[in-house]
Amino acid sequence: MLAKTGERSLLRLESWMLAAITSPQGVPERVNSREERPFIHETNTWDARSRMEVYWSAFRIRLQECMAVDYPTFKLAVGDELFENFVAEYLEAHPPQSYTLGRLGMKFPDFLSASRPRRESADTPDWADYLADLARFELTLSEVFDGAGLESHPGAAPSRFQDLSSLNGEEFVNLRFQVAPCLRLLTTRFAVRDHYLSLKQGRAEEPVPASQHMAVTRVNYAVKHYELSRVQWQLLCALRNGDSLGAALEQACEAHPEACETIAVQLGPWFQTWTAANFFQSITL
Amino acid sequence: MLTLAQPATRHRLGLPNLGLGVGLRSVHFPYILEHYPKVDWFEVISENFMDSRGRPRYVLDQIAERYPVVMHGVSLSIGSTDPLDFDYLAKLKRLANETKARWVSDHLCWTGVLGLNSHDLLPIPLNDESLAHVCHRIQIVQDFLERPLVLENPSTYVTFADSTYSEWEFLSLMALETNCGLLLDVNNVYVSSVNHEFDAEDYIRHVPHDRIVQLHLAGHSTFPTHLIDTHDHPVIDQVWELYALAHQLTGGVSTLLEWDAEIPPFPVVHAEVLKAREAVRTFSIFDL
Repeated sequence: MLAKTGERSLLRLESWMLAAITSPQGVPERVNSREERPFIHETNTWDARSRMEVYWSAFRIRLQECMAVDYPTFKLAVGDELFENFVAEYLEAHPPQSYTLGRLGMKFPDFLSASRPRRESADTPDWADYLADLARFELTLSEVFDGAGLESHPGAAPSRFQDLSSLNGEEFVNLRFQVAPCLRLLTTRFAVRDHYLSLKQGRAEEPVPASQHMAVTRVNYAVKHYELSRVQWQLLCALRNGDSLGAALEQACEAHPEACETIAVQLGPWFQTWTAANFFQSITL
Repeated sequence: MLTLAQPATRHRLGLPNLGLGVGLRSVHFPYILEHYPKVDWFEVISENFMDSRGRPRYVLDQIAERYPVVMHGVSLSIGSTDPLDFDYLAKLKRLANETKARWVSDHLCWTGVLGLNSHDLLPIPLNDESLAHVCHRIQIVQDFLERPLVLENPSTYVTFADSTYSEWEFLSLMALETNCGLLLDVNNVYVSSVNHEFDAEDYIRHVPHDRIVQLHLAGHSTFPTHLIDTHDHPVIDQVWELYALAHQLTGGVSTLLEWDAEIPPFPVVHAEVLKAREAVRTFSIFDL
């Protein structure tokens, strides 16, 4: 029971109010009780609990809206009601702690993975995998949108891979690439990028349980995403991790001997595309 | 007992009257960058830009090169019993310096406690204990930011039995003690006056006019028992009338329109704040 006015510290009041307006069950009935009624002024037409419910509703609506902005396609995929349920459970597990709503949904993909129902088959991706994949893809888009990019470093990397054509073989294999701060390399269990695009275009297709490799980056403040082959993805991951071009190529060929010839033929065009898309911040010998 | 403040034009902590401004919202970015409309100034929500290294920050930089910018925050939580967040304050200070913000404002409120954040502007009890607490924190923030802090009266839906001051009394004492500025949200005064059954005109007559740096205008939503400050409608006549009174009593200060939901095209929002000129002519018949 709360003490009379004047005996209550600011901390106690704030703790009491925050607990009431963030309670998943709604503002407690006891707010209108004889013990707690003196806590908040009320009028004949508007009682204490109803007043508190304004804050209770605003809390939910604001956070739901924020999550809908961060995960618009996920919401489209699952529908409004299910989305609301997912978010309510997520917020119960991860209540907002940051000063910025920009961080509210950062743990949503991990939450979906951690709270997924038991898998029926270890080998076959299921609907829960798809949801986590889609959420992770959308989170990546948000991170790339608002994170550091290359816009303030024009010309940081060669704009054309041919600029390096004068290098001899040894110099070439020793090249190291610093990837752009906005480059993200993703791999998903579903063809989530394809499904994302179909949902954005208003097509209601079934998501395909086939792994997909992607690069997400930003050019002139616009987020771009590209599908990669497994070999391309592995090559870029090695370069991102600091391996030389020679080491990265060796790893890719060892993992995919059937693709060695393709790599040799396509390497130039790949790097032309990737440098034009600002995948790299700098290239060093 | 505090006395009726007199009309004031000189003080405002030495801060200028920027004219009639608009709250910068992302839906208007393309229009603004294409047209660079003739707007006196923009107010930006600090938290929307302080962590951005992408397009939002780029747009703000373009705007700050061409217009006066004022920063308006929602997460300072000056009334909270949690420790002040100096990481947040450092980002706030950096953004203010980089955008040459004319001033930095937030709300007389708390947003969370015990490490949790409601992301709402929650009211504090208005008594000596909270006054001392808030004043102490304002001084720390002002010292850190190396500039006066400007605080806004929030719209409220509850008041506490612990309160011993009216809101305008509390604001007056707070401004006197800390030398902070005030952002008088005229719509918030109106919303709270209906919700708590006090006289809005009386409030505006008594708040210390020489500390008012800025006025806010907005629309609200009407429910059978109360009003909610939704920022999704045009300004109603009663609020324009109160605005005209505040204009008379302050001698005219920077005025800004907020529109945060169901946001119409930029020219509509801009036209709404320009109605302030007409409101001053229409309603300025108050006996001071």
